[in-house]
Amino acid sequence: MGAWLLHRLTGLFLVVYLVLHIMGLRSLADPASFEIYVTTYRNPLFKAAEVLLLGTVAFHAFNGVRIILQDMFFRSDRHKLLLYGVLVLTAAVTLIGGYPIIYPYFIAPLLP
Amino acid sequence: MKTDQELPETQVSRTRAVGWLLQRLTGVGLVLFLALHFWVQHMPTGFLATAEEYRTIMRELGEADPGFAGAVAEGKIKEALPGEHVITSRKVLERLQNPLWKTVDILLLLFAVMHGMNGLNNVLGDYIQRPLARNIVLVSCWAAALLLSLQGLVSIMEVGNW
Repeated sequence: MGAWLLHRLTGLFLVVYLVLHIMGLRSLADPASFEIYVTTYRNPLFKAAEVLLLGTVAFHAFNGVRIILQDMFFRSDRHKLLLYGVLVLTAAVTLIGGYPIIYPYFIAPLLP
Repeated sequence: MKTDQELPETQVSRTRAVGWLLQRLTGVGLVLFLALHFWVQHMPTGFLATAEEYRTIMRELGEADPGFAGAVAEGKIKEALPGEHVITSRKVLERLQNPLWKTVDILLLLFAVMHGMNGLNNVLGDYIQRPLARNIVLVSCWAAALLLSLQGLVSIMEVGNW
């Protein structure tokens, strides 16, 4: 139930983001407006949001793969274990992929 | 359009099955395409500009276009921080010169739009019972999918040589 709800909520969020993303890319062919557009996303708030976005996509992707796999191959007593696998993979991808994203904004300034 | 109740059972299940299968096929494709997309647009690889490369790009574009130089002077286009890798139009253009990458980006666009709008239709269908409202949702989702696909295709095709 929790995974079902989270899959649904992350899915809805990602549809909204997809629309904003595609509309944002209208400036791609014009370097000046595209660089202005990208610059608005290059600040600590949006870098943190970028990592959250990664986590949202990672959960939705791994959970989607879990749904397909358990429909096809797994007995229902294994489903809980697969869900834990999804959560571990989501956390791992978010941390490993998130680190280089936040590094210049949150970590480098702390270094001597 | 007829409602589920009015259609023969086989036809209803076939329509639903197509939506179900579409969601799974595009979903599997998206895992691959989004992994690639994340790698090239969000990770510190050669597909993004380093702080040094970005400084050069800003200078060259500023020399070619006074509007660009003005945006830099106003702080609307900022230099990269040390260690930061920046998404920039020039690097995207270089990548999209490769027909294979352009194909990947077009597939990513179409799969994401189909998966998103088909998924939205599925979710809304769980909460909306009236046949007319369900049909309005269905048509709206596919209309949105069509428009977003076209808009995205225009953006992708405007960049690169073919």
